Amino acid sequence: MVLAIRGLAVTPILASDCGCADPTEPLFSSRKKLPEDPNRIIRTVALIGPPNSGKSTLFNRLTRLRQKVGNYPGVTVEQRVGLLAGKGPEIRIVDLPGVYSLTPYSDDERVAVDVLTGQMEGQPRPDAVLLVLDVTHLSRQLLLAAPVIALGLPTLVLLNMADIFAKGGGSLDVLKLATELGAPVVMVSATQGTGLEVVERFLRQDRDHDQSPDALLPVLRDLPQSRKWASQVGRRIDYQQHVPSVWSRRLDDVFLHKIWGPLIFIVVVGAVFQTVFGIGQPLSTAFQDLLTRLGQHAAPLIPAGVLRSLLLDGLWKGVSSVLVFLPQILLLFFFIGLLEDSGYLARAALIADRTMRSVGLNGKAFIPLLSAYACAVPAIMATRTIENKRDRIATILIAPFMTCSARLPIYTLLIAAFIPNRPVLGVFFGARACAMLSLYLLGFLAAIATAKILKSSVLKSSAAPFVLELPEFRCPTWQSIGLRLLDRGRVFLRQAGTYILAVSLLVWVLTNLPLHAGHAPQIEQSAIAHLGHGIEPLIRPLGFNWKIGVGLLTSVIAREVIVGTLGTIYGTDPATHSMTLQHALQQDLTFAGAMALLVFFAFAMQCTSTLAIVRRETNSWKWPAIQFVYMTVVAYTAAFAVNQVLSSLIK
Amino acid sequence: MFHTFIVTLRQGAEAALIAGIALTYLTKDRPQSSKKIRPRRAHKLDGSAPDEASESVKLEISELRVALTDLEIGEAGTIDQISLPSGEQQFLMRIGFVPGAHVRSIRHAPLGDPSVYAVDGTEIALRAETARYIKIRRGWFSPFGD
Repeated sequence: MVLAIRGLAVTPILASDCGCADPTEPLFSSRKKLPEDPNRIIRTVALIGPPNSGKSTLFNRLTRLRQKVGNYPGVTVEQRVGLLAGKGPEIRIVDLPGVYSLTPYSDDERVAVDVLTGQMEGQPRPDAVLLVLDVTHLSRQLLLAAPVIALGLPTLVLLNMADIFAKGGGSLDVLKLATELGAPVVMVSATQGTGLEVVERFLRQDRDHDQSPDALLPVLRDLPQSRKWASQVGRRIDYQQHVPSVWSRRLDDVFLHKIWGPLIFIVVVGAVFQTVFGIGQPLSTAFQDLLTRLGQHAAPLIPAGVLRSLLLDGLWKGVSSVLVFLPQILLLFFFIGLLEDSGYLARAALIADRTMRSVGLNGKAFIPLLSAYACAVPAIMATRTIENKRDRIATILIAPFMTCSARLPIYTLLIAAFIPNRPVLGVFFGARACAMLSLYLLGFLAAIATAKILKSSVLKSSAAPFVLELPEFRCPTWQSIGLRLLDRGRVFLRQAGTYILAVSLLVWVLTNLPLHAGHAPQIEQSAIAHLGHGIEPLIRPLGFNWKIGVGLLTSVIAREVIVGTLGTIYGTDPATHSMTLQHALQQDLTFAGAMALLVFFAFAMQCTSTLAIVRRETNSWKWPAIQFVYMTVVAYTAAFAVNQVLSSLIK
Repeated sequence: MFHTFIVTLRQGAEAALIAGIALTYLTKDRPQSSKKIRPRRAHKLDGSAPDEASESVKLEISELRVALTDLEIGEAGTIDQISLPSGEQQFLMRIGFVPGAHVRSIRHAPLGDPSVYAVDGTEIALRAETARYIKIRRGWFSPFGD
């Protein structure tokens, strides 16, 4: 039985003796031979490897862009399946979550074991396994090799990052390693793309003989023994550690310096923030304009009537309110990708940890919370990096309090209408800027307070200690960032898009019913206005009338929708028809009411996309529901207080 | 007038920042050449010291096992055991803090905590509240080095 891969011959070998011990208590048994199946072709391949082994880069390389992302049933573990690029029969590649070992202690590992043993519902048992290990840190990574190979599936061991390894003067005997492991081994570099043709040949080859050599792996009882075995393997394969580039340490000397570290951190954070706003906002607005204009161009092409109203006012508006988020999301993920791939993000989390800990959160929550200033949706998607489940949920729950960019249109409108343009601190700092800043501060404080409450009661910290791996500094590649953008963009569009469309349609239906003689009713007669009148008693103490009420109802889709809704309402009302929206509001709202409205928007959950993403990330409806109720209660109470206090003060 | 003032201020700050970074990088002590490592007596790693009195043997044995937090920057050791409940223990072992692993203290975060350790060559940050329960023996070498 000989397997030839690139001239590498692996011959049957007997058990290697490592003195590892007690055969009566095996954690991983020695490998059994698979039953012979002469016509076995590989249809499904599992890709497994530790985190930071470059597995995702490899997955992206192998599948090009043909991937699908979902969730495994019952757990918040992401499922990625793709198709091998290239000619030939279809081969599915299942990218398993990054795991260090196959113990049953975490969701990720359980999912991996289930998939590999064919016990995962909806997934056939893989026909082969690609095991990706980072060759520059082989000792640690080998801990995964034994249990995976012991499962008995045809396995190809890929030693990734071979380019960095070789450049640093590292070397090892590939043939000896293959002998030790009883599986073919190949050196690859996912970033450079070398060695991948071997992978394809392994996957596509016609197998008319049983591939698995008869290697018996030692019985390894637990992790310390696995590590001892790994050490011995290291000696036997003449493993020569590569010399890591001294640049990584030097950069860390600067980035984690007592004084310069935090300063650089602030500069980087400030720069990201500035850019996402400075470029993201105008891009969003421009995009919005473009979409509206497209809608207007399309209008004459569709016969007037219900259909046109449905398509344009309902569907198109709904779609554009989703698409308008896209520039900021992409910009944000671009920067996160840059920071993460280069390795700086870990350092930033380290610097932020001390501060975050005083609130009860994790240092890794920093970037998600920062991103929430642009949009809570990608922020919540970015909380995946937090392994501690409770910290993660706490971060997800407080992210929407951060003043997202969707609040800005209504903030700007109300501030312009009700706050005079008086300077407060010299020319640069007027009353309006002051008001805007206080709103930002309000959101921030609400987030912190909520975090403190959550972490000291409902979500008290569980066992998993804070551990952060600092990868070596790398130069990010356009490809990896590009793929990440594509991936996150797709997830957002699919998740948020479906829910927003649904709610937009619902609002459209409510606005256009009941029909008066076959025509859509005036806004005052529509179903949604009735609802607005219905809730008016509830919102009167806040200083709002039924028109604002309608706006609140429609903005459940997304916050900025209220501006359009108010525009329509005041626009069609003959009394306010010729005024600007600002004027109309000044007539209809008191100062106290306006401030209350601002505060309401600062705290309320008015974003279907957010709820949709939270549902996806927590895999249940419980948390989005809790979030919605909690934030609505806080918003109502705060707006009530502001309105009452200010009204009595002004009298 | 005010505008030019602001602009100059900002440019000045940026220049100062860049100069500071460059200066720090050039003058920073490298961990390897750090004088912080206390001079130690040579002793056998299995705890035995053939020709010494039992008193000093006892001293040496107790000196050998310390907490991860007791390592000075640049000092290395081998992980001996993790005195934490089983769940946290497994978690740490999976990340790489396995008994037998080679660990070296690299640096502290700017605010003192967490600290960065090189475990079998990989840099991992750990809070002091966790690191103090990881017991190590000073000085050991594995084929996978540092």
